[in-house]
Amino acid sequence: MSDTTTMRPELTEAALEAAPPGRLKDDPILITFGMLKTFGGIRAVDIDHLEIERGTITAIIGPNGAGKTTLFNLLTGFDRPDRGSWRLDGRSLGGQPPHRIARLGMVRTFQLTKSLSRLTVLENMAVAAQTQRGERLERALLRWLWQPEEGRVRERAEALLERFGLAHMVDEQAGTLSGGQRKLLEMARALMADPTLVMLDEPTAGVNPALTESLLEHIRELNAEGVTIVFVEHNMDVVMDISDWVVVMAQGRILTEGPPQDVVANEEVIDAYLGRPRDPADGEDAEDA
Amino acid sequence: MEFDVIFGNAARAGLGPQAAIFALAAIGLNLHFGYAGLLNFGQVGFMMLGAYGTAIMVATWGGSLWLGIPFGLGLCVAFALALGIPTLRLRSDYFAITTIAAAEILRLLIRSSPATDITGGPFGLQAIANSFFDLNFLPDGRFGWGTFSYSSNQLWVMIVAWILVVLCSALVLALIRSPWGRVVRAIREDEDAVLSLGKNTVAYKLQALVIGGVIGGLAGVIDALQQSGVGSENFEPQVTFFAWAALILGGLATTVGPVVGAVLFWFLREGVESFIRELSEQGWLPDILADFLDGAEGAISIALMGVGLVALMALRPQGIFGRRRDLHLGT
Amino acid sequence: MSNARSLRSVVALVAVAVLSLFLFGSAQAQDGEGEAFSGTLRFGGEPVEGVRISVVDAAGEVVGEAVTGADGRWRIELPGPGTYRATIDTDTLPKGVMLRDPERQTLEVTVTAGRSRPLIFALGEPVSRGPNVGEKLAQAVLNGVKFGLIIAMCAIGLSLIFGLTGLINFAHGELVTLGAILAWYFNADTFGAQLILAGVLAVVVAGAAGGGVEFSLLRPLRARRLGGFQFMVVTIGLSLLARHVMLLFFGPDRERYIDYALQAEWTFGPFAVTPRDFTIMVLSAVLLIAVAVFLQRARTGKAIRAVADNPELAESSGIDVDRVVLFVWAAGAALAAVGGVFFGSVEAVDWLMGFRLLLLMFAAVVLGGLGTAYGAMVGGLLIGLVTEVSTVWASPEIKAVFALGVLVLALLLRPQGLLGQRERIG
Repeated sequence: MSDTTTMRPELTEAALEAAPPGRLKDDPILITFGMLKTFGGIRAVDIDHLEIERGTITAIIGPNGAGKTTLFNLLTGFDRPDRGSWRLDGRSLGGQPPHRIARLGMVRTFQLTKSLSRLTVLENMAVAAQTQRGERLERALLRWLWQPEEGRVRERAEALLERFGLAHMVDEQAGTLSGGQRKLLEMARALMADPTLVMLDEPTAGVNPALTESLLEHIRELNAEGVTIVFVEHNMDVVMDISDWVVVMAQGRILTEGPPQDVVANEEVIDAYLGRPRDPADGEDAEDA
Repeated sequence: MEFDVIFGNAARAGLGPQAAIFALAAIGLNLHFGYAGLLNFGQVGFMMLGAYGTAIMVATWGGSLWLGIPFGLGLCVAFALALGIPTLRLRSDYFAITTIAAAEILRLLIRSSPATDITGGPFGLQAIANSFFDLNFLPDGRFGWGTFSYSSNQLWVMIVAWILVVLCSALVLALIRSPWGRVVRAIREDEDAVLSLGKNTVAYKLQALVIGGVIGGLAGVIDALQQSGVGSENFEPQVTFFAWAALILGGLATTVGPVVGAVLFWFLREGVESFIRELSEQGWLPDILADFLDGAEGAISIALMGVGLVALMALRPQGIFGRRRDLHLGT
Repeated sequence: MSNARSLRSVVALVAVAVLSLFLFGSAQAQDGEGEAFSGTLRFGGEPVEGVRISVVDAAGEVVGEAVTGADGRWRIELPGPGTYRATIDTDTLPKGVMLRDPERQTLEVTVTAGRSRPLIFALGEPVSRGPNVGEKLAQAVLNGVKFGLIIAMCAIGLSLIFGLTGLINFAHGELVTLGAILAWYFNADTFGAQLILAGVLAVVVAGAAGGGVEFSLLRPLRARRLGGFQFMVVTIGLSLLARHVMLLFFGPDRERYIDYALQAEWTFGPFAVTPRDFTIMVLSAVLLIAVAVFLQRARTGKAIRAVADNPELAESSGIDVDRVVLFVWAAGAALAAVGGVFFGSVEAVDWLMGFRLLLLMFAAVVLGGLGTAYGAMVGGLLIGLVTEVSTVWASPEIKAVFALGVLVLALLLRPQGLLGQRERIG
């Protein structure tokens, strides 16, 4: 696979000049080559090269149908690409099932929150622990083998819940939580799995502004602790606020990438390929579907 | 009207071997669907394999019963793997349809003439449980009062069967309260979420399918023992539906639900049949109805079971011990 | 082809003999006191006299012997219920007369208390001298298409109801039975209506019944926000209820319609088909095409596809989802009933026919892709073909096994079904 971008007729010179996609990073944690996924002839994802820099917060933006969620599904193993390879910390992930990719340190969340409704909040957290060997059937009945670890899992879970403001809900069934609380729980749960790279699919969709603020604070804190974060987002305020790097997708391709100020400053790019009003704060709600 | 006769019959069925057999089948289903979210509509296939495996070892191959029982349960494991590996990756409705079809087709295969040399075909296999009844330490004679009574051998089967019911209930409870059970219940809620947390969900579902299937196979073993034989007509798809009815009546994802449900199911079924029989014997039915109902108590009571299921879903879908709130939280 | 033709007429006559034997046998069963075997031997329609039949019990002791009379009848009283082996002495058969299946010289039969069991020793030319594999294959393909079309028609409603509401309707087989049994009542029992009229009446009533179930039971339950699993249980309850009520009224026996019961076959090259079966195949194909055209062209058809695709979107764009679902229930039930009448005409009517067919319908809709009408059609045809063609090489008793084999294979290779769409995640 070639590292350089080939010229595409539909891309304007200006757009390419602004920020050529597939840019090499100093210390990439995730590298993707030649990723292609088609649905019934339509190229949902068609990416030559994409790198994610370790320790950064990277936003993926683009209009509906740009292939952002499909890209997430491909990278995390939930969907299989027609072709392509990708590496996390040098380990090839192509063809790996999703649970193995998660165990290697890339943990995702979902656009539609997936809380485990009839499990308690604490159980939601405990399921994500990677250290509980009592999850193996042959040890399940041998209580003494897993009881001590259960205490440590609980401690960690409670600490995380405390941090996400859910400590008072520990023994509630997750299905009784509000939409925003579920988003928080899902993020806390993802962290419980001890990831090196977290993929958040629209973390702020359907969350009220006050909660969004605290969510973003958590994302920043995490990042400060060394976790790399990739997130799909429609809200440009959020993108501008917390991301170090922005990748713009349209029609399955990476249109451009760069620091948020550069990307947003390139109004031609935004106009032509995102079809958004110039003031990115307007008309966000219509995008959530 | 002799209510003591009716009640005696109903109680005999409610505590008898059949109820224990259905309790075991329902405990297996409860692990499958109540906890792991697997829509298994082929539980009768596991029962059939448990029963036939045992009977074939004894009657066809002349082996020991104590070898036959593990052989039958081994067949259940093989069936679970053969069924699960191609279908557990798919949506649950595909799984439901494949399991019901697989169980019925297995039955057709067992009763077909090419299989007669091994399975006895349409005639089944007989005289398999002698070494089981040799262990019966109870004195001969009948135990009980009036119609609520059992023979020595029946009581012996019941003792063993109900002990197994208790053991299997305890096993499922312990599994479900373990970290393994937590993952299994999480998969029931949302498989993708659990996958994204690094758990091999297909392996967990397969394990749950095998364990619940083996418990169903145990039900089949008891059935073969109590009849001292097997016949393919005892394993029609209806049996799965009755096991489901017992489970739903008691309450999904509860420990006592499948057991109490099975007891109640047989109590009601035999009670209704006995009641209709009494009515017609007493000549209390109008002539037209009497002709119509003569000898049809079985069909009537099953038809009423159908009405009961619909009514249960409309009025108390969570069953006796289930929690209504869980239904709404469920996906 | 004259040889094959004469064979067929022999087979037809044997069939008549078998049927009359059944009638005779069941009449005997009511008269006779104790357990017995009985039967009538016929060859080419003529009774066969002087043939010895003997019966031994499970221990091998001879318990009775009989020689057929001038009317070909024989009867052997048995000492009690149990399993016996009855053997026909082929040496006593007249010259040129032989068993159609030489392996069925000895029959092992279980008799329950007080029952007289009719036994059939079918005489005729041995099957092994029958058509060659090519001819058998041609005939099996024809049968496969015939049953495939019927399965497809029955399964469309099942698949569309799933597509619209996500419900696996376990009572769909009972709609098939209902159509067949109602037509039997109108045709052979009470009114004596000609079968076509009786069939149309039955289809109308069954369609109304399907619509009625949706309108008066399922719709109110939907309003109470019952879950998908609970709905499935409701249909299981309905299926138990309907099946056993039909058992109460119709009884456990197999019955046939009066019209078109026995017909001479038409032959086209290697294919032989009765005018009845030919008509049924043509009608089924026409109905299936009509359904396809309806779904593509008609307003309601388009609305059905829209709701199946995305109910919320369809609702918000002004489609009355409840009405569409009601329509599909009524139309699906009517189609299932048509299938029932056809199936009852080709084979026979009994209370379990729909339930047995349900499993094949399930296989068909999963094979074709749950929720699509075309999937049900393709899947139905495939299941019909596979099951019938398998009988060329394998025992007909296990033909359904091949249906499952195809199903599992298809699920492994193409989990979303032949025509289904892949689901997207996230």
